[in-house]
Amino acid sequence: MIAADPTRLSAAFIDVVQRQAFLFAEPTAVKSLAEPDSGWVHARIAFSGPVSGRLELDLAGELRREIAANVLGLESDDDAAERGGDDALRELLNVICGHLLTQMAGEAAVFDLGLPEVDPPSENPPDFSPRALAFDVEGHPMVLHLAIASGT
Amino acid sequence: MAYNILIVDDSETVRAVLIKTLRLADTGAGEIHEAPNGAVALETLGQRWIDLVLADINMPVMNGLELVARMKADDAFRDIPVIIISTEGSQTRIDTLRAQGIAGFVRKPFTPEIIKSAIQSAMVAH
Repeated sequence: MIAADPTRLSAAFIDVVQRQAFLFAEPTAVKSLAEPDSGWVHARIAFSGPVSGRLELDLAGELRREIAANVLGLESDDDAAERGGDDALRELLNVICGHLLTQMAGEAAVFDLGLPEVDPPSENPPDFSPRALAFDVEGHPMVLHLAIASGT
Repeated sequence: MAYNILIVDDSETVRAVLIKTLRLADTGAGEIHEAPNGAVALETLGQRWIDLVLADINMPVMNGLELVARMKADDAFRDIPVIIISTEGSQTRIDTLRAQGIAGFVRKPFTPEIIKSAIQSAMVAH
């Protein structure tokens, strides 16, 4: 049986966000999240293997630029950070998904990941799943939801 | 001796970070070429002298698994060392890639030191 243990998923998420994007994430409650300045951005990646599903990430729009700047070693007001925001977010989601699936299913399991997708920012707050994991990322909200559609 | 390196990753961000890493970490990189997927990588391999390939797995058009398979099936490319740089966490898949003849595997997120070490190991073995 492959199970998504929230504690382990949360630890894996925090570790990847810190090592990939050099940002510190702290678990929090959805109701405690700060309102984003630049709307909400929704990103997702599908996976298939011993279990299938998708990983979804909702985050403050301003974090896209922050992630790109940190990964590329730029100032956050650099135009290249704005241009690279979606690409850096897709890559971060890809890495998070790979690590969460290994945490969940172990190193023997083989998964195929889809291509990550990022939607334009929206002013409307997402309708978070009760199973979503919420994080305060240096004062900005980021919410993770692992949706398992089928499997063992 | 400088190595000509081909970076194959659909993320411009990752390619930019790898280029910066190769330049700053004294990896022996000469010319650095980029491809956003395996199909473009094969075209580049046919047009340029490449000593080492750094490739992701999860890419559109042609992924890294197919790229490795196509390179190993081609007499012109099969001896070019390939280091896979991926989020892949499955030891089963890594073992399969090693059996196919990849020269190294680096799991994302990576550090410059890890990339340098993987390149040195791959080129010494080659």
